[in-house]
Amino acid sequence: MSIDEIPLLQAAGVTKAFGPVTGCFNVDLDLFPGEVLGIVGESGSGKSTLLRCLSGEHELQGGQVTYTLRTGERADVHAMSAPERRMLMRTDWAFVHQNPRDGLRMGVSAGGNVGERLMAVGNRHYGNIRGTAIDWLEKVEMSATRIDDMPETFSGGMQQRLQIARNLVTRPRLAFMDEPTGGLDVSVQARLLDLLRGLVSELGLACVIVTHDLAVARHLSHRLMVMKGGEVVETGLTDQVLDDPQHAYSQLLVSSILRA
Amino acid sequence: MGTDMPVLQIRDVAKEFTLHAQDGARLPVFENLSFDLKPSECMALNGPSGIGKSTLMRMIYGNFHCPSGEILIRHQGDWIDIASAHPHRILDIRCHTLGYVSQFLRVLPRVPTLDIVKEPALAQGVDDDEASKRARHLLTRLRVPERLWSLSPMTFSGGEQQRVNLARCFSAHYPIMLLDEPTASLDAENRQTVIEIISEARTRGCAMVGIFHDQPARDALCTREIDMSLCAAKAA
Repeated sequence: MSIDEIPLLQAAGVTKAFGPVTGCFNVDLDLFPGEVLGIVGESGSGKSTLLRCLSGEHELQGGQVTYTLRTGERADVHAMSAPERRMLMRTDWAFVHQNPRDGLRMGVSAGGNVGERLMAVGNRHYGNIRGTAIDWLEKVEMSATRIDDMPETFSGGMQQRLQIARNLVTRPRLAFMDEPTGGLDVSVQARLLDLLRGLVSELGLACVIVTHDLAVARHLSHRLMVMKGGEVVETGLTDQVLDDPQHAYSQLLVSSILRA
Repeated sequence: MGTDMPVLQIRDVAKEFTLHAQDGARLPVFENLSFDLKPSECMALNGPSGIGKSTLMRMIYGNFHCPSGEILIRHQGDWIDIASAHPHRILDIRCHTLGYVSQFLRVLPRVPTLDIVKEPALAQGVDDDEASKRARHLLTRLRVPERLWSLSPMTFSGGEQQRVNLARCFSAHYPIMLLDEPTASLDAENRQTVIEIISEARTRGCAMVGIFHDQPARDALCTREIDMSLCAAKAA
């Protein structure tokens, strides 16, 4: 991670309204290669909307999102053609949903879920695809013996790990994660956090992680953005924002945590 | 760089907290705080509890905002002001230049002790063999039994956790270190070992700022001291 590099993802003035309701308003951000940016705030603060604006899923009312391609060329995410963006989604980008059902193909086996992305980028050799799928199941601490089982037969924590394997198998450079540990019980959460942190540093992956869980944010992210009512109210080094919050809302958020 | 050149300069630093939840109450802590620190110096921050000793250390580390003044750190040949540095620069400074021995070990569950101790050395680019060697050496000296090395320290006793914390901080070599009561919660034997480990780092040229309530540790380690009550902020 270095600030001397060109940002991998850059947003300027990103604004998205749903009718009279503002989803997010005038958001600027730079994300550097290998950097993990946490976005925190209460429900309805615009975190997930911002994530979908960054990934091009939502059209913008204002502003621009720029992504630096592997060629070094800088592309306007919202000006790309649909096939261009789909290709990016399968190769350079990953999207990890809170509910693994939104990110998995439930009618396809575990191995098929991981292999599908490999085939999408041109892999055709069945043995290689299966071999890579087994490697990735092991990376996310799943037994290779489950490769032919359907996601339906897995626990929530396993489904989430499968979703992560499916997303990271093509070694993307950027991952968008929406509450990746939400909905999991705490012991499973800790394991997933540890796993995510290892993979992020091993792959040099840049991430934008939306979470309402400040402990998750502390453990995973280098930098933090605090959102309220669609606007960014504070941004900075993760531990500085959490330990010496400046904005009234950040102070409220931090002081509202129950200590176990 | 000669040893006469400072590596840390605190310039007219002041700190106050604003508590928005309590009608914006302002809590001034200290003001007009200035000092320089050179390699192999160890500065003790003295003064009663609540005077802002830990606050100052956390400001130097970039963990607390510095609203006024400059905190200049010599980082790989450049002077960087922590008060205004980009978060990435602060992370880079923490990796290579500035170590912080906190009073508590904060780690993720499930990560084995040995890996926790090696991590800062690996982050500095030390190879795995050397990082393992340093980690084993430090854990042995600090009397953390080898049978615990493959376990997560989360269930260890307070004293064991503190020794893992110390081993972790000293597995990397930093030009500047911040020590927040490094000998607290240790027995006499381990306290002596920690004093030796800190002295060795100081002899290597490490400059230190520390809080030592433990008088023998302060006498053994510190070359200078500052009475922080002289900089206490007048109530607003």
